[in-house]
Amino acid sequence: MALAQARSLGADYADIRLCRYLDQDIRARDKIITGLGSSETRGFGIRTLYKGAWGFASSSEVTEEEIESAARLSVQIARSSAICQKDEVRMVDVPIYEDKWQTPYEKDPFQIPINDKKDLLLKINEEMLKVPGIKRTTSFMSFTREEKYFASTVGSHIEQLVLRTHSGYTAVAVGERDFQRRSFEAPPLNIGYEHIEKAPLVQNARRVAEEAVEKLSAAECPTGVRDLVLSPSNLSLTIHESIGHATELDRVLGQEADYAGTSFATIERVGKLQYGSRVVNILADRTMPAGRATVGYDDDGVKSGKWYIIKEGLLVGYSTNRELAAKIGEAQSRGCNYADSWRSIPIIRMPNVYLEPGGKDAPTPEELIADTKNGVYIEGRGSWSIDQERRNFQFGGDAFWEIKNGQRTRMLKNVTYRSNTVDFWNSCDAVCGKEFWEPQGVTNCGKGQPPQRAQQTHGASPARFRKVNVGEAR
Amino acid sequence: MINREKAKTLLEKVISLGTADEMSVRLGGGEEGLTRFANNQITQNLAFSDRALIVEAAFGKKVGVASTNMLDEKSLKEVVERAEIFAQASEVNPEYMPPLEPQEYEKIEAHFPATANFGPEKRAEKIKEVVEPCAGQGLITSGTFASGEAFSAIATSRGLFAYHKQTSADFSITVRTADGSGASRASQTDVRRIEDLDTKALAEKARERALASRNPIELPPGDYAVVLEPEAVAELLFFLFTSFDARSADEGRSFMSDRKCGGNKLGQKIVGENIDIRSQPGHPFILGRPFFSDGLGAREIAWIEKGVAKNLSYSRYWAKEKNKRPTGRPVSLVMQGGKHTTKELIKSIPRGILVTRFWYIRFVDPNEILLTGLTRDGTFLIENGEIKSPIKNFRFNESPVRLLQNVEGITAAEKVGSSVVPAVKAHNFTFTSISSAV
Repeated sequence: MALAQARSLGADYADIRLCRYLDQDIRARDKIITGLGSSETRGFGIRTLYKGAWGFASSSEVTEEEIESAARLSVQIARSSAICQKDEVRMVDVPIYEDKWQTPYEKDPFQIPINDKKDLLLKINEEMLKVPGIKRTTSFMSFTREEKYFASTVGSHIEQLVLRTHSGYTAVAVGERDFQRRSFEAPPLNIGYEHIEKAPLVQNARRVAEEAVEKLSAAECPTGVRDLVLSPSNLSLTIHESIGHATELDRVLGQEADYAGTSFATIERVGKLQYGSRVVNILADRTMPAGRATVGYDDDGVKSGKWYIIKEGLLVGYSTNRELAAKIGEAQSRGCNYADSWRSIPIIRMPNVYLEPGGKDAPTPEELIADTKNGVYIEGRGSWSIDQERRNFQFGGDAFWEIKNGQRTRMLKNVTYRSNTVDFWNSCDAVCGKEFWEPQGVTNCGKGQPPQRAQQTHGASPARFRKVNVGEAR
Repeated sequence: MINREKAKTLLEKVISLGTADEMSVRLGGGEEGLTRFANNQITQNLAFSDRALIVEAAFGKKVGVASTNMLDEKSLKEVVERAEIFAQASEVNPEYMPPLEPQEYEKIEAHFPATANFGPEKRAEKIKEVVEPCAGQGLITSGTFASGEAFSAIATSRGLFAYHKQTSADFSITVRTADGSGASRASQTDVRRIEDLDTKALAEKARERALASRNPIELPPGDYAVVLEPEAVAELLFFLFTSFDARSADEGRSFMSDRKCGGNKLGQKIVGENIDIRSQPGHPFILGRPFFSDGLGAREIAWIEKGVAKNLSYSRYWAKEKNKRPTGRPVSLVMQGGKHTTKELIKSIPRGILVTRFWYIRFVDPNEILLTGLTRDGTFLIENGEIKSPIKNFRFNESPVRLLQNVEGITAAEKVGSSVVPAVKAHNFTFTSISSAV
């Protein structure tokens, strides 16, 4: 109906997304359940292309009258876009799909009793609070069910169900001179409650709390150049910021220049830029099992795929959608269009982006550390900041240990490392093997105006980076 | 948009559907249009209409929360049931505070029909008006123009009802030079009256500074005297006030914790005597919401006076524990301006840096509010009281506390989003590395 209405008003293309999002969130602080709630939001968005200009209208009132009204408004908005339009939008072709897709899962988290969930969070906090010096503990679980129906004038009709599961916790230790935190999580994945049941949450609670206390008396970050051995839990955000965002085609083409920024990884550098060393292979993948950005189809109705962004260190690809793939002369979209709500316009969001593990001769993490004379081993996330072209970055972490003559020795705190993206990835000289590869993730990736949230999985095996600046922050 | 009467009727009905001992019910929503442009043409253009109903139900001190954006009979019943099921499944929260009774609020008129009715055609015309001259000079523009109206309402089982509506318009423009060596941005957000939004002036400011920032030179990182323009100051203040939570301070988890004597730093001099910062929701440049989401009144509060921490942010629970009046969060911030102009501040610096704004600021160490981030959209070398040259962007590692201890000059304060902030001159601002990003 909406599509026919848009067509009758002269739209060359139209699509509609009808969505329902159900969230459940449980939070505990020390021995108290501080938050127990759920939210539900429904609505639809209609996107139209009228003489090469975009319009979009949405509403939370899902009625026939409102859908017709929104279709009219969407075309009216597209006509107003034409007031300041020099090049008509053209999109690459997409096959017609009639399909249903859903996240594979064993246990629906929304069917698990609340008691089981809150008891687990309180048990985790109880374990952490047993450690002297811990003054504050927090833990959480969050689940999302996203139902989406997509139809377009191309002829596609696609139904999808995405299920998201995430849990984690933090201990805060307070000392005479400062306070320090340490965190742990069952990484955010698109999977069922079995993820929580299998994750060693309680088993790690005491260690995590003990390390928070140990950080109080840890040595400050050294200043100078060190080799870094980065765990997957730290490397995931570095991949996200310095590779994932830098290779989003909308940034590359200047579409996000006013806010998120542009990219140094420009079109003419594809196939020429040695982004990293030859051990660096970066895959983009919207099909990986349990990936936070894994779906059957994107919000252009393009089937999900998997491709190299960086192959043996060389920049070879981007994240694209139907509109911008056409701008760079590609025949097909990579299927990266995503809107975080029925009321948002789909924009390019990076897919799951990950570092391939090393080959059969790749070192173990122990061998990597044994082979490092003067370095720092980093776990988890801390501070992160990167410039608007994704060149200069400074990252921290959650826990740090000094490496001296092949041994992991004392704990450090407030460590930061700073580099330029290309220098950093070219300093990577070893990536551990596939048995050490872990999927970690990002749940709050912000982009667009108004800001939209996206989520991705970024996996890696531990990897080493030579001669990186550390400690510049102080 | 849902008006005051309809909101009141709906919220009272929701409360009547509940069986919980206490209920607090919030309704918010609005209608907005937003037009984005890039590469000198409109790229995205949207309209949305939405609302959210949030129900908090409590049985004794067991609390559950549920929300929905559907307001039909069935959905209202369902969301109340869901909140109550969650409340019964929860544990006793000894820190639970019952809903508020009726409160007195400052009267703030923040809704102006001309802003609410500013549609997509008008936004497109205004964008065209500023894009075409830039495009004609070979410059590349991108930005956003949003306009709309929103409301928020709350009712409690103890008889409180509050309603507020406001309009807002936001405009931003980034101008980049074709050779990619110069760029700048100007914006104005949270503007209540559309006629106060001067898109042409903002575009001209961005254009001039983009041209002036071409071919930047490299300066070695180090400590420099700086002039920070208001947007840069406002960005740092946001992080400073995340440390003003009284409970975190009292429990040793904040810069505002007093590690020598225990407790917090209330009453202590933390920054220079020339610094005064307060919340002022009714300020004519702000016209903020007169109440917080729980119905507590937003009032004028001095946070820093003559450099001394005068107030910390007390939640209702922590205020009860410490026998204080609850404050709500530090919002609608107004930093007292001074008598200088930006030009005068620059004139008084033998060698220093002019910063237009910052980008991607994050905590490095919350113990001292050590932050990192980068300069963006026009950074310049000052020599002998004059702008000498554009420079490449810097990464900084610095604390807003140290910055406000080092302030030597202040301009008149101006509107920056929902704050009112001046430009400042300060010594010894620490830049640690260079970024080639433009």
